[in-house]
Amino acid sequence: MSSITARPESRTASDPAWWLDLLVTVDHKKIGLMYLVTSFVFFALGGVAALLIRIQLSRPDMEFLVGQFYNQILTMHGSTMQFLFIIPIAAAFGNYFVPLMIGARDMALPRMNAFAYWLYLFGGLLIYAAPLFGGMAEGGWVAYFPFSSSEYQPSAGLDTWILGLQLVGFASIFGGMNIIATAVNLRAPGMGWRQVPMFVWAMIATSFLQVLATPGVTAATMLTYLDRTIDISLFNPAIGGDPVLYQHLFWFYSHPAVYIMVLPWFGIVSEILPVFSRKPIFGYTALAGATLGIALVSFLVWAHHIFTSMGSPLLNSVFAFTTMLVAVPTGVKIFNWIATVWRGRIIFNTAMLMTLCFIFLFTIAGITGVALAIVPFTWQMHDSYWVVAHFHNVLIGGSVFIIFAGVFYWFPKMTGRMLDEKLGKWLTGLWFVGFMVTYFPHYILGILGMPRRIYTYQDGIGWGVWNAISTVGSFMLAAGFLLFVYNVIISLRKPKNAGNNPWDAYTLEWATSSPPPAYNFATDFPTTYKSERPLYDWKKMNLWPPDESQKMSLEDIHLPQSSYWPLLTAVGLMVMLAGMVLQGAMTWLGLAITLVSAIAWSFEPAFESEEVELEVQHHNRTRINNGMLSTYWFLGSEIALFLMMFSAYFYLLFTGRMTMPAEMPNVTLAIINTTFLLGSSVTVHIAHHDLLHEKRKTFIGLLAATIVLGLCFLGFTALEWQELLATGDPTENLYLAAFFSITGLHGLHVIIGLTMLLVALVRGALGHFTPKLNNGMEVPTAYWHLVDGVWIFVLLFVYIVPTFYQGPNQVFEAVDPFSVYEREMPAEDGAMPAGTAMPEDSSDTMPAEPAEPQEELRSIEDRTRSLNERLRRLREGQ
Amino acid sequence: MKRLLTLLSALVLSVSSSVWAQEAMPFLNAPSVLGGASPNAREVEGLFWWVIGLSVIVLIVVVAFLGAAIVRGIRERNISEEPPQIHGNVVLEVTWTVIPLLILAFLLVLTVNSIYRLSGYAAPEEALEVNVYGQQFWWEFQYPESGVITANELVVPVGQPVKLNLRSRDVMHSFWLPQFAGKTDLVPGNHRVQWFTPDEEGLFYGQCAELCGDSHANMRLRIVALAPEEYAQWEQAANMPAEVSSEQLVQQGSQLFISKGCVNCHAVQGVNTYNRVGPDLSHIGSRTSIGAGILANNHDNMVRWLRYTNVVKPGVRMPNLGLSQEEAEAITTYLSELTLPNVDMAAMIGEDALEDIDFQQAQVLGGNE
Repeated sequence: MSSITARPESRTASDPAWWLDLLVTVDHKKIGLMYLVTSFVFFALGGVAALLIRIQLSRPDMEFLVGQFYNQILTMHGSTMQFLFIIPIAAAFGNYFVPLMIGARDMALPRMNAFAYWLYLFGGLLIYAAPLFGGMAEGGWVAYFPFSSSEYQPSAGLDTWILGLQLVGFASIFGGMNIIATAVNLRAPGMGWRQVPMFVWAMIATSFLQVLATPGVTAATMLTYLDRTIDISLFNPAIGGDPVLYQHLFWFYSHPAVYIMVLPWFGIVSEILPVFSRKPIFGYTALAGATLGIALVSFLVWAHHIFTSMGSPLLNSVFAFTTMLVAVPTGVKIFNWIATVWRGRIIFNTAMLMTLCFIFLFTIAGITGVALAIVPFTWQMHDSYWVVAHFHNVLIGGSVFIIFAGVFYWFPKMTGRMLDEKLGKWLTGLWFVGFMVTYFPHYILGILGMPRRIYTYQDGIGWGVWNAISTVGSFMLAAGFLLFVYNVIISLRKPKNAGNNPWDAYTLEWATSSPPPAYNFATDFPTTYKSERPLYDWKKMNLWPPDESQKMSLEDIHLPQSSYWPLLTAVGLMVMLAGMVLQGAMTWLGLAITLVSAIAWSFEPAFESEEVELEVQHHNRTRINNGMLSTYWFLGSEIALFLMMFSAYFYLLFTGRMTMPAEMPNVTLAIINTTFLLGSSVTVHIAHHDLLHEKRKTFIGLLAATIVLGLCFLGFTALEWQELLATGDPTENLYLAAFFSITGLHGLHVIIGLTMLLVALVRGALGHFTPKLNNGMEVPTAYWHLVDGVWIFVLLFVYIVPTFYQGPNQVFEAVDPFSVYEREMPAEDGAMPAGTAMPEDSSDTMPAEPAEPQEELRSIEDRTRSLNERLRRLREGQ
Repeated sequence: MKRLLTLLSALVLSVSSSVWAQEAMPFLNAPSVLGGASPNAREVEGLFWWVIGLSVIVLIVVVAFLGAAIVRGIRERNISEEPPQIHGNVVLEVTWTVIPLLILAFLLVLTVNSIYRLSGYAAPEEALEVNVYGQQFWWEFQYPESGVITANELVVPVGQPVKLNLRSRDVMHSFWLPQFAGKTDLVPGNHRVQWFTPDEEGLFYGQCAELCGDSHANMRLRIVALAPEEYAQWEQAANMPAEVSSEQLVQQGSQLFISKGCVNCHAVQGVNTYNRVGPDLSHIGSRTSIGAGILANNHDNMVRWLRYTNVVKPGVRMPNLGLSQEEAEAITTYLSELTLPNVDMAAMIGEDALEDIDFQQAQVLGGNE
């Protein structure tokens, strides 16, 4: 399919059906709407789960939802709300409005945009299909180890959850890199960084977090998956692994994740307050700076989620400091928002009312968060209802209130109709009161000692009344949401007469019709931007509304064409992951569909002609074309992923947990392998250079040589692995587990890189590339350089470092530098002290014979060690 | 204003109706982190009041200015001219960055100081050591000095610090006695330490605070803080086997205890002290609760526990042995005689404490006769 010239809005008989159109569209507005609707559906599902939980907890000793099923419902509630509702709904608004607000026609990578949506949908579907695969995840959305090991969750439910989450995670990464490339490259001429709307700043900061932090949860969950499927584990204490390592990796993402869940809404607050106070945002620079500051510091606070499990006063103190630090830019925002409203001509519609409620509720949330930075207080409140109150306060009193506000603000733009204001005020009242009735009791419950994730509590302990009140509130919230849905439905029936700018707002999305045409704008905007309020400034400068000379002819507008490859590639990935859960042939079918679709996608030109493509790819604010700009960010996420793996490796090495196997990997072989890889980087670099200088034959030849060198690397790796596996067992030795995890991950990237280079070779031979247009070669080249660059570090860290440093002296007291307690060291005979061995199987031991006669035992340690040995013998005997 | 009133009336209504409907004074029994029973908990409480106090000041400032802006906005809503288009103010920005930083710096000093004072690392030399082992879904307590091994009810002397060595035998758990100290997670493969000094006698409540499986909600614990002389009595008695009578039902129970296989998991001094898959039952008759704190220790509850274990506690490791009513009655009678020799726990704990916390658990989760 090639691109189309823009055309007037009327539909003709030959237009595809609306649902077929949605399957193949790359229009950012339609994709935004799909994200919006899908997110709200998941919100409803997560909300039903919440109501079930609240019913169960409303009175003591209820039997409505207990035990394993309760744990599964709470896991689905948390996972749905966070991964399938709040993060994607930000993508909904971001996709719809970032291009409009910067005066662009679409996102930088339209097909990638569609792909991200399908990954999200299919990831969510896969997670929800878990019961079909035999179970559901039950360890909470955090899935801590060892409860997440196959020992304690044998069903495939958690595997489905993990793999579904990978799709959703990639959606997040791809969406993020697209937003960054769009904001950087596609801003209208004249719109400098100081005139970019606050919402765009918010989405940029959010996208940084999505791209660079998501690899944390990828590493944590995929390592869990490895443990569950092939027993290679960095977390298994029996071989020296550490469950706290899982927590570090998980929270390294999940803390920035909560800012992903909140920053976009901060941006929308900064859009709504000025419009409905009729004055500019107070402190634009401070707010933009604070947004970036929050994003940066959010990478430094993750361990405040594990104050109770690290066991290190030093780490606790450091993270207390950084956690308090992140409160400062957040406070700056609140004060700037109040200053915006100060002396404003306030319009009290639903969007504004919900935003004002937000300021109040979010301040309380921030306060309770600062309380949690007080480490000893968190020692009391961690995993209690205080924390539950705090994060719901931030996410509902914060994010969801602004989600509603954003819908009320932008509904006219997206649909051409206004939402009913009376129903909107009912929604505000029900949610403002309902929120407080539901969640303020939770603060009290935390203080009264109620832990979280419990399905019941006893009568008479004093928690009943607060739980009952809370449940009443939750039904108020449910009623409000139903009212909201009703409002949307009846408002959609009204005629489309909202007009371009019903709020007399200031940013560029209001400079076109409601809803916008497919091509967004047909106006040549002025190129003077004085502030983040272009429409306000242009009116004052008499540059707005535009006159006839500024209107563009539709023939000059080119739009990217629809494509079914993003959908099919996503389908292939879903089928492949489902196949992995089933551990069957479906995996290969899925892989095949994915490969065919992805390759077809790369063969498909984005635009109808080279001129158009050149125009689109290069007519941008930096000299970097859209494809490469996005790719650089993607490579950033890859670097982050390997950083996670190396951090895990060094954590285990420096804390003395790693024992070296009898046979270490062959460093000489590794160095030979390195020359293959480095050589291949040289060849691919020259190949690309030759392409740019139209030396076709050498380009093809060197590209082929690159692939051959890469294959040599893989071949030697296979030999090396074979040798190591003959003498060592990665399921028994922590160094080998880390070695195979890291080199395996790297090897996977080599295979992906070689596949991309092979496709480039074929396309190059077919003449698809020209010196000016060769994304299909540029991208694999950059990827290949990354793969080779990472290898240098693999060589250094995993092969060379252990030749001279193998951990702190383990003969006596191995002291963890981050903790002051000695860790559990094996005794001389190799037996682990009592309580540290992971049981080998899950069968309950009910020995048939009666107890052995008692021995004379000297000490508790002896007795427990003896017990351990006996248990092991009993289990082996079964 | 109207919204505030609606909110207040909603709150008042719900609290009062619930109070009327249910418990008389909901606070007294709850294991609150305020008003703690150890200087450790009270130190944390002090930090809490500091941060809440300072935060309330900030909240009042925020609400005041926000409220004033809203009120002025309501009053001036019919004025059509544009308000002053103010873009920012550097002095304000600096002020409201620096002041919070100063407040937080102050809180940080308090925090770091308390971290080091309250960490397990700082456990006093003279602390009584207890090795705590958490597993799905119960707690084992071993006293290395005296050799006592017990489960689910931790007995400690008042006035002496107690140092808990926390280890997990399976998944992550978390040991939380809200009235004594913050919680500490039990991480398999790691050894964590928690300490506190109980300075109030009585029976207190605790619970596992890290999701650990189907019955995480049922992995509860109790702590009994005794006067030092009483503790010494307890410690001595805890190392002596219980004396059971030769009554026929008791003897029948004791034989069933062996023939049904209970002895293969549960240690009872004088019978078997080797098998420790499940909690030590040497003095189960003297404990206030069974099933890891989920049921009051009375005859009916014990019978139901024995007969419907996995219904009372989903996911429990103890198998359902298919006991008949008579068998369960016999074993229960036997178990009720396994008490601490010459020690009256109920008297030592005190009637009031027992009444406060010994919730009416006659009803068992699920399971019918």
